[in-house]
Amino acid sequence: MAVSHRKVTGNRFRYLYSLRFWLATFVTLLLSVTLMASMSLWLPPGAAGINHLVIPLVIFPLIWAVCFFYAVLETHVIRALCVMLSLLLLNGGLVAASVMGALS
Amino acid sequence: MVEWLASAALLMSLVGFSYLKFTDPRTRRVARLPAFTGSRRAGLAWGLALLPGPVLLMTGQGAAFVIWLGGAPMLGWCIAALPPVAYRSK
Amino acid sequence: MIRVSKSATGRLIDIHGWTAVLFGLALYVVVLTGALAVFSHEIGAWSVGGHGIDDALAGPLDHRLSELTREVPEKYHEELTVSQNAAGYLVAFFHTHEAQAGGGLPEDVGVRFVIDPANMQVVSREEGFADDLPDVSSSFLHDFLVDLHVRLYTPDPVGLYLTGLLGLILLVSAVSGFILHRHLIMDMFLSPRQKLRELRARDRHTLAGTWSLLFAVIVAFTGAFFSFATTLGLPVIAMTAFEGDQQKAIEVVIGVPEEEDPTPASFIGLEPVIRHVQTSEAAGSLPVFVLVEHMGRADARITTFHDPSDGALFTGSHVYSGVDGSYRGEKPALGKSPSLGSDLVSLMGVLHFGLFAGFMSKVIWLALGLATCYLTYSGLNLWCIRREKSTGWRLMSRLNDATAYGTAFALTVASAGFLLSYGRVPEKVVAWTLNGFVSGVIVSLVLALLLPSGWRTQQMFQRVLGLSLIALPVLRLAMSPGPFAVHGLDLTLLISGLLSLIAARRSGADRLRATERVIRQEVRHG
Repeated sequence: MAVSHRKVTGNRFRYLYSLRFWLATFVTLLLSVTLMASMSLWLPPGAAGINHLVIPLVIFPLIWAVCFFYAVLETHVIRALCVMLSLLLLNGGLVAASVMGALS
Repeated sequence: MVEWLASAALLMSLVGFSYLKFTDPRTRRVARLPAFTGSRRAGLAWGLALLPGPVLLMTGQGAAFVIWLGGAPMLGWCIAALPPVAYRSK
Repeated sequence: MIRVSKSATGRLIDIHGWTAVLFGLALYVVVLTGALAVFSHEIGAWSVGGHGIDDALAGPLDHRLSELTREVPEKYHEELTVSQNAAGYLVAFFHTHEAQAGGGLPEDVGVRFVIDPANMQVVSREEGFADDLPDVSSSFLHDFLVDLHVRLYTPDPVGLYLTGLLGLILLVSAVSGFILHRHLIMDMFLSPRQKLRELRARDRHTLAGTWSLLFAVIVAFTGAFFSFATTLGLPVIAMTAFEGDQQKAIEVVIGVPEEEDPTPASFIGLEPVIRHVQTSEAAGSLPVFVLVEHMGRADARITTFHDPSDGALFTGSHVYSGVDGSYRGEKPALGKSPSLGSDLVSLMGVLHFGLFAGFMSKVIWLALGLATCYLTYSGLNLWCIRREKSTGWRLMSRLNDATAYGTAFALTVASAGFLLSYGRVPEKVVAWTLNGFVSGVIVSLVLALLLPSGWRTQQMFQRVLGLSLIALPVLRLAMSPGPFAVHGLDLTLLISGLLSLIAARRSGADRLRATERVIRQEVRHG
C-alpha cells in the first residue's frame, strides 16, 4: 500500500501516459455503449417484442463493469487493446450498418 | 405473513451466525481466548444460516426472500462486530 | 480468494483508493440521501404535520376533475395523471407531449392542479413544461430529498449522469475490494482489533465491506441502471433500432397500443374504475397513481398503478376502458404482454427502492443504506489515517468528517427551514429549505476547517448533529400537532439525536483513556 502511494506522489500524472488507463476509462465506455447498442440488434425480441430493447438497458452496468475489470486485470495490455478494439470494430460496424439502414 | 416468514428466516440465520462467531478460531486467537473445544461443524452452521435463502426462493416467497437477502448480512455484521469480551466470562 | 498477479493487485489498490478519494464524498451524499429516501413518503407527511386523508383517490374525484377538464385547453386532454403527494394533496396533471421551442425531444407540457382532498378546492394551478413548473410547496422537503439522491439537485441530464457514474464507482469499489480482501471468509467474524488505530480502522472497514458487499453491488448496479437507462441507454437503442425516433422507442417499450380511434366519446370518470380495481377481481388495493390517456375519445384508457400486494414483489398495474369502464386486465410494467425484460426492470425497482414489503423492508433498506455510508466513510478514513503525516490528507480527513456529519446536519437545517416557512410563508418554502441546506453545508465546512483534524472534529460534529436532530421534533411540534405516525418520526429523530450525543461523550472518554495510557507509558519509561 505504502509502495503504491510513493509511486503516485513520485509521478502525479503517470496515469495519463498509461495505455491501460485509457483502455479502462475511455475505450471501456465506448465499448460498453456499443455492445449495448448492438445487443438490441441480435437479442431475440421474445413474445412481447421488447426483450431485445430492455435487456441491454438493464445489463449495461454489468457490460461496463466486465469491460472495465477486463481492461484492469488482463496481464498483457496489448492483448487487452486488441480484444477491445476488435470487439469495438465488430459491434460498431453492426450498429453503423443499422443506423445507415443497411440492415432493414 | 411475509413479515413472519422473513423474521423466522432471519432468526435462523442469526442463530447460525452467532454460533459461528462464538466458535470463530481467529477471533478467539486474537482475543487470546482458549480455542473452542469439541468439533466446530462450521459447514453445518453455515448451512443453517444460509438455508432460508433457497427454501424461500423455492417456495416462491419472493418478498420474504429479498427481505432475508438484505437483512441477514446486516445481522451477520452486527454479530461479527461484537467485541470478543462479550463472551470472555464463559 | 481470487488470485490476481502482483501488478494487477497494485492497480486494484490504486483504483479502490483513488476513486474513493475523487468520488467518495459525492458518493456518500448520494447514498445517505438514498437511504433516507426509503422513508421519503413518511418524511413528507411528517414535514406537514401529517395528513388524515391517506385514501384521497378513493374519494369523490369526478365532479371536480370534469370541471377542470373543461377548463384546460383541449390538447392537454391527451393524458391526465392523478396521484397523492407526500403531503396528502392530490396532484392532477393534464398534459400532452411537445418539443420545447429550441427543438429536442418531446416533453410533457400542460396544466398542473394541486387539490386539497378535504374539500376538493384547487390550491394551485400552473401551466407549462413539466420540468419548468414551480415546485409543489407542500411536498418540497420530500421532493428535495429525492432530487438530491437522484440527481444531486442538478438539472437533467447532467445530474443523472453524475449519479450514474457514482453508481459505477460504487460497483467498482465493491468488486475491487472483494478481490483485494484475501481473507474474506477467514476474517468474516473477526471483531475489529482495538489496540492500534490503523488496524482498528482497517478491521472495521473490511468487516463492513464484507457484510455489505452484496447490497453495495445491488444498489450500485440498479442505481446505475436507473440513471443511465433513460439518459444514455434509450437514446442509443432508439438510434440503433428505431432510426433515432426516441418517442417511438419509448412507446414500444412501454407498450402503447398502436391503433388509435379519435372519435369523440364521453369519458366514464375515475370513480367507478377505482371502485372496481379495489375488488379482489382486479388489484384488490387502492391505486397510488392513475393515468388516463385520450380522455373524451373512443380509445380512452385508464391505467391504475398499485404497490405490491401482500407477499408479492412487483408493483401491479391494471387497464380499463375509459368509455364504458370495462376491465381489460393486468398490464405488465413494460410491453403489452409479460416478458423477461419487463420482469427484470421490475426487479431493478424492487431491489433498489426496498418498498416491496412495507415497514420491514423499508427499515432493512435504510439500515443497508446507512451501512454503505459507513463503508465509504470508514474507507476514506482509513486512507487518511495511513497518510496522516501529510497536511493535504489531514485536510481530506476533515472534509470526510464534514461530509459524513455535515450532510446529515444540512438536511436537518433544510428540514428546519421547511418547517419554519411552510405554515407561515408557504410561497417561500423552496427558498427557506434550500437556504437551510446551504447554510448547514457552510457551517459544516467552517467547523471542519477551523477545528484540527481527528477526534475533536468528530466529537464537535456529533454534538452539533445530535442537537439539531433533537431540535427538529421540538420545532415540528411547535409548528403543528400531528397524528401518531408523525410522532413515530419525531421519536426516531429524538433517539437518533440522543445516540449522536452519547457517541460524542464516548469518543471524548475513549480519547481521554488513550491519552492517559500514553502518559503512563511515558512515565514508566522515563
